[in-house]
Amino acid sequence: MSFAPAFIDARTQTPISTWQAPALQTTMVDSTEAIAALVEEYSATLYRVAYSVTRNVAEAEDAVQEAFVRVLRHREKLGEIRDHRVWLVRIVWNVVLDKKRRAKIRPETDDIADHSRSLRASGLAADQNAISSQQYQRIMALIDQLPRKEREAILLSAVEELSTAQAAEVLGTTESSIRSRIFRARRILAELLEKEGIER
Amino acid sequence: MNHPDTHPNAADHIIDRALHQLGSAEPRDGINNRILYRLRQAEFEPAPHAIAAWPRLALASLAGACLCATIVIGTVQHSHAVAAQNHPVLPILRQQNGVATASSTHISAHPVIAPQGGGRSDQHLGQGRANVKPGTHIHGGDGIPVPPRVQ
Repeated sequence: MSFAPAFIDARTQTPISTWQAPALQTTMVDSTEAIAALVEEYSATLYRVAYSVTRNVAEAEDAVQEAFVRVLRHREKLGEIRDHRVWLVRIVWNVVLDKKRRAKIRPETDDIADHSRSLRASGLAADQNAISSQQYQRIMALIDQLPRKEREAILLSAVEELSTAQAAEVLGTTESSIRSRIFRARRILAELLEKEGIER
Repeated sequence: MNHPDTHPNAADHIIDRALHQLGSAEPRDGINNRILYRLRQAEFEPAPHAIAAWPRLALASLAGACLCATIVIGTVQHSHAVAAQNHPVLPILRQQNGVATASSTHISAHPVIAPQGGGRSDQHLGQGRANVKPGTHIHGGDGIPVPPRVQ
């Protein structure tokens, strides 16, 4: 499905297609097509970034939609962006953090059924190395106990489409700092698991 | 970003698997269509005004401004009321109104009495020293040295 927004004819107050409006600027059409292309290419990545924070399917998708709405409102910047992936991830990252701050989204609200469904969709359910939903929920709960910087670093690191350098750019820090935070986060998680009786 | 799952211990294995599952989450089918539909709706929505995102700040600023205005007006009215009670000359000045009155020259509610003994204007320099006229009343503790006797 292509994104062909309708515009209103000021005289007749009827919607007209972008392709029929003679006075519309070429840049408007170009940016519309560019946004549609970004949606096609990056929606899944942005969803995983949002999901890593919200742990809620509906909230994650809503965050992705909100991110693209912000892109639409700042479409004039599209031509200036060097790395669209980092730019978009930073937008959706700020969206989910804002939502979490305002609504106090609790990861415990994540539906385990949703988690199981997402496992089936990604083929991980059949993976013999897949951990149980209970173990997964336990790890997520422990991640939420981490200090903020370490928590954000390890959550972004989980998104496979993002390199360490890109994650560092999103968080506004250096690559070495990200690696240090991830290392500390994993060490803390291992210590917490050890307390629960899981050997290192 | 991939973390090679080479750690032999159980805890790291569990952490790796959990992160892998988290980062592999798939959206529901049709997410692109829903995003495009939302964008189509957003085309006709007005962008939120910047000030609408700061209602608390706007209200707080307004409340602070009202408070400041109340304090200033109350101060001016009080000073007018005090002046009107005490001095017959002041009714002339009471014709003035407004905030400027509060910041103008202050009129003392009680007449200012000139100091006895002439005060500082009677001092004069002599031989490099400031001489004080005899008979000038000097309050104790002012730290003024005893003037030399005039010969």
